[in-house]
Amino acid sequence: MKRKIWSVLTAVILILTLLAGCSGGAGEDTGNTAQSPATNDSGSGQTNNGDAQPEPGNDPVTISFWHIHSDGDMKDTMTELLADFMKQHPDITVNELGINFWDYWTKLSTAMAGGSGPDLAMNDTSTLQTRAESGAILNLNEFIQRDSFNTEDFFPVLIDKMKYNDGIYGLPSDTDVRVLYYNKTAFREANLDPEKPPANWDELAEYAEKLTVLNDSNLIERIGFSPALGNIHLWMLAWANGGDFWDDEGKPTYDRPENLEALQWMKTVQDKYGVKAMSAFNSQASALQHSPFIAGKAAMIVDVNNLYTDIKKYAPDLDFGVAPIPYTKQPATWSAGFDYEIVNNHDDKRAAAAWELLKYLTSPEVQKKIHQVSGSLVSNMKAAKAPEFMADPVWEMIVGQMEHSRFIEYIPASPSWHAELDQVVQSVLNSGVDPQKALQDAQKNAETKLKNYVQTK
Amino acid sequence: MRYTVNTVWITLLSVIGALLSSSFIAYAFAKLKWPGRNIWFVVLLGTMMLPPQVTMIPLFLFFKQLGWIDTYLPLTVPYFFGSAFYIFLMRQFFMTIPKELSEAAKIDGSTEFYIWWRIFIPLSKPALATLAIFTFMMAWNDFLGPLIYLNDPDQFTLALGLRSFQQQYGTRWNVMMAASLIVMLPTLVMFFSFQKYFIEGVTLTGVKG
Repeated sequence: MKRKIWSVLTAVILILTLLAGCSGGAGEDTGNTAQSPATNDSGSGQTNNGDAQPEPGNDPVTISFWHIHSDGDMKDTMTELLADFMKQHPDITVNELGINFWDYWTKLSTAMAGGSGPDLAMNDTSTLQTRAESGAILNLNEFIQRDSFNTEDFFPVLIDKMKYNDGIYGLPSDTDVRVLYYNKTAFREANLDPEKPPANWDELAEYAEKLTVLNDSNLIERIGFSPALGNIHLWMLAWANGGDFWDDEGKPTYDRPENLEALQWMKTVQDKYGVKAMSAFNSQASALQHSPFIAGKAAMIVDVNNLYTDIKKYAPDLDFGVAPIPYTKQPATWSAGFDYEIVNNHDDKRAAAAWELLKYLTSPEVQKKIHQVSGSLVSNMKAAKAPEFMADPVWEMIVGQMEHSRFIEYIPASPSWHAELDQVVQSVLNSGVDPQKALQDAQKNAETKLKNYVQTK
Repeated sequence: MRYTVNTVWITLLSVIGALLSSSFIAYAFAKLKWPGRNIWFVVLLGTMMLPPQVTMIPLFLFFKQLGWIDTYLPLTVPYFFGSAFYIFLMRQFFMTIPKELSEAAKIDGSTEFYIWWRIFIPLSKPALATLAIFTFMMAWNDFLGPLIYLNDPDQFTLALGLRSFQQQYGTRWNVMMAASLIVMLPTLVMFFSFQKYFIEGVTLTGVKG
């Protein structure tokens, strides 16, 4: 008898394993079809079977919305806003899920690849085009026309990033922008006019030297300005110098002389401190938990607008000013941001409900509230430029910089080219690699990547 | 806290699943003679070489087809099918148990199932303890699994809860550290309470003259 049980058990396990093998393959296939727009229909049939679908008609609809606010004030605000939205739309129930910024992308991309993504998702503005191309998210043109929704309320640079082949595939939620922060107290100590921040690179380098204070053991007590601190990057300096890393056809132009000039300038400024003193400063600064600017350890720094929120929170007495980032040929700064996208779940009813939520979340009133809680640079200009916020001169300056702001190009052949460029800069600043050689190597590298990408397409 | 209950539940199921299935399968590999046994064993070990990142998406799609997303099933059921490393571990241990023991049992008329359950399992407590600790730690600390399979915040595990303290522009270190310590405690307790089995194991394997 026992032997029988044993063999039955084995058989069951074997069969289950076999089944697992088969359906595993099938699962993969549907995932692929769901991704490619050409075979959308078969994909939709499959996915719908798996999900519990609400009955068609005018019944209540439940949608899911994922965002990155997993803790703190923004989480509570988001929950409040959604409760308010559901009150306005009694037929729509929203299930929200906040996953922290660092892990959100893993979860979202896995779920979307598997066709079990949310109906409305917060996502990364700069990579929207890939999802639009693969058909993972919906073209909003139809909704926008139906409701004669005004997309001109948003910062133009942001709405441009939402476009792919004449379609608008998302609406921007919030963004950020880099400006120059300078410590007015430090300026006075160094006999500089606190109302006259540096406007070009020469002035910036000159001021930096005057503002730097060394202690007895020749270590940096206060740094004037360092391109290695804060959120300045080679691409932005290159833009300000009339350079560029990619031309309009998506070809790399790393070896342009303007780029080289920018890198050389970074090196000149940085070399004044020396690698050793700089690393000592960095290890000291990282123990602060805040930006070294807040602690008064850096007299000037280029950083995102969130630094302003932090200053208000942690160092309200700091006497500081903000200014456009110094440039040589043209004012430049850069932004990154989030948007909301309607995920293609092959369900018109849920998509329509998601659109209502999308409109709600990007409306001026809601965006104002989000700004009040998080201090973030919301993308609806009616909210960001609301008179009550613009009364603050610092905020006015920050918002004004959006005019010169650019996004990092999204290059399908090399999506993380900017991170790689940072490493090139590091090798020049810290390891003494020749700037010209570094950029030429990077150019070759980018060309190879592009070539490989074209071949695999 | 809700997360604790969830985590304990998942961990418990995982440990039970891993203990039963891995030792069961390992017994077949160690003591039964069947055609292609060694080839299958190599195949089994081969699955260990696949990094989990490679199987993540296909597995996700598979579980989605089964409608298991947003449940604990993808997190616990796989343990009931054994995993290569544990099977390998148990097989090596079973190999050290003298053949005479199972032969004696067979002469007395017991089935293979009975031998596994009444002779091998009690004798391999140390190996099982190791296995339990491994599974416990893995299930308790698993982050990626719950992250991609669970959508309902009420079902989240401790590992996920911990990460929520980390935000884009900063972390609440005070809360984070306090919570981390609490989450870590069970693992520590688990390790020390099972420690004696490691030592005991040495004396257990001898044949009584």
